[in-house]
Amino acid sequence: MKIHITKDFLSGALFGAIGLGTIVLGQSYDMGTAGNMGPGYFPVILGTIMTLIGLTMVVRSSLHPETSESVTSWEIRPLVFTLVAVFTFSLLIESRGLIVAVVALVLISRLAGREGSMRELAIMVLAMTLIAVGIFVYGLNIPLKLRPW
Amino acid sequence: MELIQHLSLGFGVALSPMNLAYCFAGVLLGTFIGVLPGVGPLVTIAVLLPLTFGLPPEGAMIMLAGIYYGAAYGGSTTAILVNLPGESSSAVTCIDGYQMARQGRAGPALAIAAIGSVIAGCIGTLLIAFVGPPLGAVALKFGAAEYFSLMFMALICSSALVRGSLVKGMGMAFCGAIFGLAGTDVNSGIDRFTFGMDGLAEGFDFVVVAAGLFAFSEIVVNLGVSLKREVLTGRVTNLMPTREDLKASWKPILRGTGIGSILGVLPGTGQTIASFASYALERKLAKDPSRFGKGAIEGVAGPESANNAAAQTHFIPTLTLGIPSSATMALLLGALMIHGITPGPQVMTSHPELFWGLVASMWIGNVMLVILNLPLVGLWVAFLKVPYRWLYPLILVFSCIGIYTVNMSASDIAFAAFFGLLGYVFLKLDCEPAPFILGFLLGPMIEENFRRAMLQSHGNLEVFVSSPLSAVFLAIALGLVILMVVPLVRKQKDQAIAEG
Repeated sequence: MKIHITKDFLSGALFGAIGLGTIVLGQSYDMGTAGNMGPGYFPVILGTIMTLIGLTMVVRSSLHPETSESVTSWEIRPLVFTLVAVFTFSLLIESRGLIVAVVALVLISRLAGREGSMRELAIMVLAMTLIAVGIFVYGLNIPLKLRPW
Repeated sequence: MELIQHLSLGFGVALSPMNLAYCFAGVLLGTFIGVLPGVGPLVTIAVLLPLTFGLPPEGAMIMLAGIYYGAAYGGSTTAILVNLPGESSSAVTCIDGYQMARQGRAGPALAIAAIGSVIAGCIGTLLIAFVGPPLGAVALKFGAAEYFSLMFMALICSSALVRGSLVKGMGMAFCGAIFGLAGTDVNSGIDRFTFGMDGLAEGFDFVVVAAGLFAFSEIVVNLGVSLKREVLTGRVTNLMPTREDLKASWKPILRGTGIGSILGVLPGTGQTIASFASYALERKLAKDPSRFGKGAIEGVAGPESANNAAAQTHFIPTLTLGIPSSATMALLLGALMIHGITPGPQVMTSHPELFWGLVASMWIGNVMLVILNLPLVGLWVAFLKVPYRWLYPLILVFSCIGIYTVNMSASDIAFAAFFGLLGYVFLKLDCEPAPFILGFLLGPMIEENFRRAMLQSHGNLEVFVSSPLSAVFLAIALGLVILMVVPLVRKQKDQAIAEG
């Protein structure tokens, strides 16, 4: 039998993996009893139900692949650059300050899209920095570090 | 009359100049983000939540609520003029609203959507005022078993009423509950699922999950497709609906309000399902169903009313029981908690000025919305021309700083990037994020009440059926599951949803 990798199949596999992971990790906590549950009891119940849901979906989508379609394309470029931009911001905000972090965020996220001229980008960087500093630091008095030094 | 006393108190609060200003700011911002495709009320409220920390609690709630129902309103403008739902709840308005616009009747379509919305909004608010106090009184008697069953029912509702199969919806709900486990276990004080990270000791912050799941993943998907927008602007000339339009619309408006109000009270059902249900009903009742999809005004009047009625009645379980009926409602509850007010039935009696002030502000806000929307429609249309490449850096900057300011924690931003990835995978696999987010929110509360109920009953599961109220909640959940397994009902639900 040929297994079709449909959306439902992948969802089921993902759910099953998360469920199994929860059961395994949940084992390290005290289970307790039904009348006096420890921290592990509820997670293991959740993980078990989740695994069963995942299994059901995998079996059902293998038996009836026509009920679900496959993923046709993944937006790799926007995905990578958007997430890298956000992650970079998290690295810079405390060590290098708000201005550097915002500039990096706007520049890297620009790579996620494909449109717009360089002049526009320069205006965007300037505008975003002014908005961020103006609203959050001066408008709302949130004590954010501004400069790298 | 106690109600009149309450309402005069409420209007006293809502009509103070500061609160009027907060209300206006809220609905203005709500309309703005409702018009902009790709920016929803959930993300906006999540990101702006830190900005309201400094306001008094009434002002903060009035403004956040204004953003919420203002967005439900503004979403219809985009749906009608651009065939793009500004909010998912306006998806069904696209069908006939856009066709009306193409026939040069954009004005009447916008007007009917606004009239329906304001009527539904006012009736929905009236319902909060009437139903809230008695429901709150009942809820004061709820024990752990009742709360568990009620929240369990909410999870099943939200799982059953999304696109795709019940199993998939439930998978998302439980997945959310699992992510909600991270952090310190309240009963034992033990860190669970923190992977040794300090930033996870308090669990994932809701703002982090919401921004990742809704803002970041949406940006990725929107950048992948080129948004083609055909704005029908030149044709919004005459706003006045004709006498025939009004005659054809008033019944759908009232029916839509009814459907929306009822569905809105049930926790876990979204506004989207209310508008779809109303559309399906109108088409069934129409003498000539073939007109639908070709610019039938009933197809705008009904769903828009249902959508707005549900938006208002969502406040009923949220404010009276302290149980969020949707993700956005959960954020509002979060805002309450930040101001030191524990959500629950006691809010109405311990903070009457807050509850009734909010209710009164909703009437005022709904009237403001009509004034904002109809004469200023040209202004909103101008915003539609803002290219997405200017918009998404703005969303990113606001989201990142907003997330950071909640706990002043840089690791929160990195977690949000992770939820962005997860949300993107969910979107690609057609997994609806709504049950996930509700599971994430209710999961910890469900666990707490489950453990407490079982502790009281010494491990006997019977406690959940021996209480009549708890049994009723569980029966509703079970009934819904059985209903969804019946092939005919499931087919109709899929059909109703697929038509969007």
